Amino acid sequence: MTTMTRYQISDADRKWIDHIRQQPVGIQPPEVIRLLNRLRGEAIEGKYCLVIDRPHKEWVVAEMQGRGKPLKYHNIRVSSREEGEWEIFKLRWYRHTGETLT
Amino acid sequence: MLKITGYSDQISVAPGDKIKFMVNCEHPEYQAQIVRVVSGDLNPEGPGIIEETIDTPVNGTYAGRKQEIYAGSYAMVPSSAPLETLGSFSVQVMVWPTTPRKGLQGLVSKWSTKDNSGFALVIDESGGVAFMVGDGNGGVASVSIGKPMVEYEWYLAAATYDADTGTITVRQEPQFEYPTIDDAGAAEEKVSVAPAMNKAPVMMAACYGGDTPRGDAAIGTNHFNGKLDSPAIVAGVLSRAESAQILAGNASTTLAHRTIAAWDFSLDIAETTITDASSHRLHGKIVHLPTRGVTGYNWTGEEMRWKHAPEQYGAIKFHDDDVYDSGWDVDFELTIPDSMKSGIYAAHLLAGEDRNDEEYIPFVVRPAPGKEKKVCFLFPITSYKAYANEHFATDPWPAEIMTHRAIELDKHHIFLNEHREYGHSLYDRHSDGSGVHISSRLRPVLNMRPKAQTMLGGDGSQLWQFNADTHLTVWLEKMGYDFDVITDEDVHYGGTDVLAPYSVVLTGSHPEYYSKSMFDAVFDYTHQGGRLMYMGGNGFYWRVSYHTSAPGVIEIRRSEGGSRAWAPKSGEYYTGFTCEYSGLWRRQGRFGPNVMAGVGFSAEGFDISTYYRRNPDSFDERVKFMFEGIGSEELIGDFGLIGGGAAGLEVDRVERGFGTPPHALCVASSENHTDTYLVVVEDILFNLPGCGGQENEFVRGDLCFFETPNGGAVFSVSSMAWIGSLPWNDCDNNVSKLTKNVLDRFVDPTPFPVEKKPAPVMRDCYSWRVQGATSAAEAAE
Ligand SMILES: [Fe+2]
Repeated sequence: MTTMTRYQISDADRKWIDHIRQQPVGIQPPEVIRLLNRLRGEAIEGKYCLVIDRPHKEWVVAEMQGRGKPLKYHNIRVSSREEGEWEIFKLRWYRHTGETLT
Repeated sequence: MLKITGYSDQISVAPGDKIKFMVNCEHPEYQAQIVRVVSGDLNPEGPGIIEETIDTPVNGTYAGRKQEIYAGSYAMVPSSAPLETLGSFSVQVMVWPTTPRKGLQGLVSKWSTKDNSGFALVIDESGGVAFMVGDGNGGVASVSIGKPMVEYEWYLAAATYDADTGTITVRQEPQFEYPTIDDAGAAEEKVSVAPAMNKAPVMMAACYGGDTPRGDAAIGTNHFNGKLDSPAIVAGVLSRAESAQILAGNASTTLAHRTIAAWDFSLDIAETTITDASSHRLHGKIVHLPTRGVTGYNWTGEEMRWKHAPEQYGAIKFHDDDVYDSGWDVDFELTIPDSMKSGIYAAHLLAGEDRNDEEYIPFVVRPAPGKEKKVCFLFPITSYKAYANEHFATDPWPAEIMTHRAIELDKHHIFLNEHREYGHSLYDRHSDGSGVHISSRLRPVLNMRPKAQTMLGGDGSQLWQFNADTHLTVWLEKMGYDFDVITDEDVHYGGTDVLAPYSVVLTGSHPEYYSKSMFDAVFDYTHQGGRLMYMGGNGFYWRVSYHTSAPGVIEIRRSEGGSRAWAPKSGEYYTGFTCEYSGLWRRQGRFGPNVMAGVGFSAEGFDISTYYRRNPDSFDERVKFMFEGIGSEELIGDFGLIGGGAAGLEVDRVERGFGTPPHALCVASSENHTDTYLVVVEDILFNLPGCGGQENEFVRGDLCFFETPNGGAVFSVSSMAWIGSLPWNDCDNNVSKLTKNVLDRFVDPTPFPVEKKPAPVMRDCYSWRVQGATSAAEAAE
């Protein structure tokens, strides 16, 4: 399965970057839901995720490679879920737009 | 990666019973101790890990050894004289392949992969039918059609071997023609290799790869994915016409006398046996429970229920990742001492250098008969089984859209993704993409563990099923309640008498899967004076079957509709185990979750949870006891360990149209869910915009109460997150207070006052919430 939404990210979505950084999870405006559906709906091959290293304390960013296949770990450690959401968002933003967020 | 895993033969035992533990340990040794599990939540905001070590004779150090699961189902017939003295012979079977291009797959074989001896009708690397013979001395010959079959289509696969001339013929005959697809063929070749008559069993949907280390079971190799129907072995070289007669079951007397075996899978659909209809009676068995009661090559579509036309249901669907019983050797056995009080226990195993590799094998200790307490937690093993070893996070479907949170992987997820031989849950798909219909507990169930986190469990503790339910047991314990634990499997086998001793029965957070026997027992309990506290969401939802002879395993067909991970094929809505119409309980006559609990599944989402607000019904005298100490404007449960609120994950609502009793009170409702929460699909006729939590009236959970005949009562929280708020702030909070008010009143044998009133006008979902049993104006007085 490839990504499930046809929505294409454009410059108009840049205005939500800060919002998503502040509040990646929770009640969202419709445009943010549309944007996040695109990013969160990526295919399982290459899908970013957080591996629990120390429960509720530390996570490692990884990429899934498909059913039955081992994970590919990234050298990114985070100490909160919010931080993990932001790291994944940055990777996905780069993947979709070519732009590196800091 | 996990290096220690295990399971037990029993899930529920009483004092005096024995329970066996089977362990796979890649470390040289491990330490075992029996613990009572009180709380399994690692969240620092929560109650923490609480367990009590129990001194038992099995506590100690054991040698580690690797034990494997040989997954993949097949049918097997022991070797016998008629099968070992074949001269010229023919083999045939109807085949419906789902992964023809997967590689070599056994269809009907008497082939040993140890010395490449015997014969095998197979699908070969080309994706088409082939016939292999091997002499056991290195000589192997194969004749292949070489044309791939179309997935999900029926074919006749047939081969003959002429011992006099060494000629092999093979046929691949599609039963449906697609004009531009070249998938039919016949081949004939003379070979110089004669098949050795070995002692290997006849294997269907696999080849024989030797015996398991213990030697009492075969290891299947070259597993086939798909359906087989009407396999047969006949002496001599069959003509095409004779082959058709054998298939149709109308062989002449002469031809019938030549039949070595003609297995008719329709004769014992609900069993673990297969029957040879020929006079040789070469019966066999199925291993790892392939799916039966599935449509055969000759299904016309006129009958939907296999009992009505078994001759059209003579197929078995095999999967290379089916697993029923892991069949491991026993490591230790515990006899439950009289001193072990009823509760949730586990064999806690520790291994590795600093003992940081660990495994828990949970089980329940029931009270000794006659020693029951007043309160009972009904451990929903049937629903835990449904979710056993789920692969939500790692299989290809849009899981993260469902949660709108980043996917978090716990160590068991990573292990299970790569160790498919540990089997799947009823939410997963087999390697061929078809939905998993059957799930057993006779394997390590790695998500049914203290400390396990799961992505569906909402922001916060992220717990689901077994570990989530420890929020309830830790609360009962901290609040000083004495309670028993029994499993719903006990209720399935024992019926309502198992529940009868209790004043109050509490469910877990998600008792979703119910057999008929379980449903009847709990329903009758509530009508015989019993008091039920339904402590979760989306309960009493799916109807499942227990196998009648194989223990610890359930089957589902997610028929017709419902919020579901897959859909069964048409004609396959009745379980193979019992021929019950499986699917939503709400489609089953007078039953359904609303009839049982006053509420039924209404919406789900897995990000953050919300709170409840009191409705006019909450001021009714009948529920005064419930709100003692709770203010009229107070929000209930705007805090918690599961998503940060008491209303979340899966939530239920009152709905008279689905069977909510007309006198039920809807005392509080949740509101302001995120748009990740959506109305359940079974409530959608036309798809319309506005199905999310910010807009839709159906996206809510309802606290519901009603009296039942003979002094009974039902209280429903209608949310999976509710019990996650109980331990909040050391159990000092309004969810805890309200639950305690109800439990104390339910334990009190005083009957609920019942004042007869005229039947009310039928209310819809909306007016139920805002208007109440009386009018809103009256309530405001
Ligand atoms: Fe569920």
